[in-house]
Amino acid sequence: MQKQKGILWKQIIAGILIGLVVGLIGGYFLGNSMAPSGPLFKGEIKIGYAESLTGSLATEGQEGLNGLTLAVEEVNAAGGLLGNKLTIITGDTGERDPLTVTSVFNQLIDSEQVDVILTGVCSNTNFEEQTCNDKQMLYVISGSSAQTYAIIGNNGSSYPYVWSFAPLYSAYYTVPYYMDQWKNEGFASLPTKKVALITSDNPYSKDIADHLRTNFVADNWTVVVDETVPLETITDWSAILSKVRTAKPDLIVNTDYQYANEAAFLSQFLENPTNSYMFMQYAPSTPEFINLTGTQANGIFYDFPWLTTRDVPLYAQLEDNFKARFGYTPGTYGHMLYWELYAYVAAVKAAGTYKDKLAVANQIAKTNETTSLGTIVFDQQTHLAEVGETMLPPTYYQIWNGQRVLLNTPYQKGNFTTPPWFH
Amino acid sequence: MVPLNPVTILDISLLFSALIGGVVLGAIYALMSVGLSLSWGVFGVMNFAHGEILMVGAFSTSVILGLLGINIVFIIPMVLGLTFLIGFLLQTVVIRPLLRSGAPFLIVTIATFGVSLILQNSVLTMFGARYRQLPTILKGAFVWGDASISFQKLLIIGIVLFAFLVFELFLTRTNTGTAVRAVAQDKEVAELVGVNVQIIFAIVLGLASLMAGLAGILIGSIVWIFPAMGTEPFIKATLVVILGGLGSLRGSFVAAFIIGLIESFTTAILGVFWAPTILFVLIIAIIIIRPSGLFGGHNK
Repeated sequence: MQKQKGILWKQIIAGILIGLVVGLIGGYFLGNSMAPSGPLFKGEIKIGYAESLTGSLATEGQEGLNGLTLAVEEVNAAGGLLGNKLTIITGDTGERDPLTVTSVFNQLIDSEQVDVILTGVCSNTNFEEQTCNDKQMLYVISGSSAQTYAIIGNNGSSYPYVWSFAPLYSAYYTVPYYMDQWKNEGFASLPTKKVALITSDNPYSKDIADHLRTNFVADNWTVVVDETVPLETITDWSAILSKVRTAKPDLIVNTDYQYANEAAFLSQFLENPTNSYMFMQYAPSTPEFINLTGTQANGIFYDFPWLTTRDVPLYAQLEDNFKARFGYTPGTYGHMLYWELYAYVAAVKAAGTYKDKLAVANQIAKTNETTSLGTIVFDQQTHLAEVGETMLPPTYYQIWNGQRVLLNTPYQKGNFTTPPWFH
Repeated sequence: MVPLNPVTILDISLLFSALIGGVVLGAIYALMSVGLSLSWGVFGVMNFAHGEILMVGAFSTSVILGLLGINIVFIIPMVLGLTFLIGFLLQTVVIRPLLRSGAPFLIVTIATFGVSLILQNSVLTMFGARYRQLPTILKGAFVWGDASISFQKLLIIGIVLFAFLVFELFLTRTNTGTAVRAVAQDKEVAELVGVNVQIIFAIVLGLASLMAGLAGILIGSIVWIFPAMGTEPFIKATLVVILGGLGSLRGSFVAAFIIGLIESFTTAILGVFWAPTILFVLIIAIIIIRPSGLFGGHNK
């Protein structure tokens, strides 16, 4: 018994020592990132940031954190918000399982008592929107608008604390019509109107695939391959690609948003390509996809509810500032979190207080903010950003030599072009 | 509910694709799982840091490649040496003191989990979360009808088979290999006849880590490298080790290819969504029939 006690004490002491070492290392990095500098502040406003900061989804989470950090540094350098210093409190939602997300939100709201929570997207269903609204916590999100719509619907007045920078995804469902348009304009050839539809088992991808399937069928397309892959890293696409090659569709649509999966899909497709155009959801908009695929991505096209072009001066400016600060070019979430913070700052200034969250939320509702991705104006029924030529215009892009070539006005840079793998 | 999506015509290209895909998956799973099985067989600890050592193998290759800019072939031996050293130190600095202090195996296992977190988050902090890829040694693909396989994947199958041959020769034809097998069979007797069990333990974890490092390099050349890349291969390797029989090297080797082929053929015939379901149902059925796994208790 004595020996066991001794062993237990040794283990406890070892545990404490390990904890101290980890704590010191973590504290060093955390302390550095939060070291006070510049003007004196009369208080602190806590900006909660919930996202995947570790694990397979960490790229966008870290990028969003950097975008947020950039904006916070600018605001603090300019004297803070109503004389208060902005401090970022992070919550890591990891692989976005509901238990982790719930725990993160409880921590941010109840323990940290943050003043607002910002995110790109941090769960698969956006269920945390309900939590935030119930706990009267101001929450601004930028992704998965279909899931936000499933929660809020047209009942925005019941969700005063929740606002989304993402517009309704109806523009995403227009692929068959754009293909028809490009065919009629002589840019595309569709001899069979057969489509291979591949999606991933998550609400975002499935919702888009379901709407696309309906629209393809309504537009007299035949869905010849219809596959759903699990929401995980797909190493080997050969079986699905074999089905695609046998069917020889005019168009391949892959709505698995994970850029690593889509890049692997493309790479393996190009081992033995068919004369098929290829549409991919979301992934081609990320710098990671471009980095991984290089010129292999030439000819891939995608649509997007935000403007992502350096022809917009604000976009180029923010991209340059971000790169100068963090050493790499951001994707959409680097921009989004930057502007979410500024929307919050504008709302607090207009409300004259940060403590009355409902007053701030009511000011967020009036947002009319010109951002690097378009102008954000909220639909008062859905609390989603509005789509429109003067707000967030629906856009189609095709990748050529690492560049996103915009296919729509007002910043059109080219026409839809046949990919190089056609033979 | 995702509908079953059976192929209506027995497409020979599809089945060929499934066969090749299954063999490639099996080869990588084998490389991952044999190290895990070896460390379990020799000192009875499930090393939860195994997946992260795979990740370190892939990341360090990428980093050295960026620094030196030489052909990846020359970097592989350096990385294998590094991962061997990590395994050796893991045994010497973390596992050995805990086992010596009489800590239960659960504590030791949790310690390896702690190491996995430290490794993953250290890499995340140092190199960021962005995905990378290693260059392929061979370009191009073998095309047969509607099926294809890249030459890189064929090379991977060859490398794995060669690695196993070398490993088998090491275990059966060298004094150290004989000592490893002796320790795996009976530690006390091995110690009595003069085998330095602690050194053997460290060598075993070093070799297991070396295999994981090689798996990391191979995976990194056909998919992507990121700090959490070790998690999924580790889960698959654990399944392989359980199916093959805990501690059975040959069992792991065979089970790896069984699992790879099940996944691949299920994907081809029913759709990829059903692959994990069918895989787990079959594994559960086998474990019910043979609780010690396919080769458990017979073959170390």
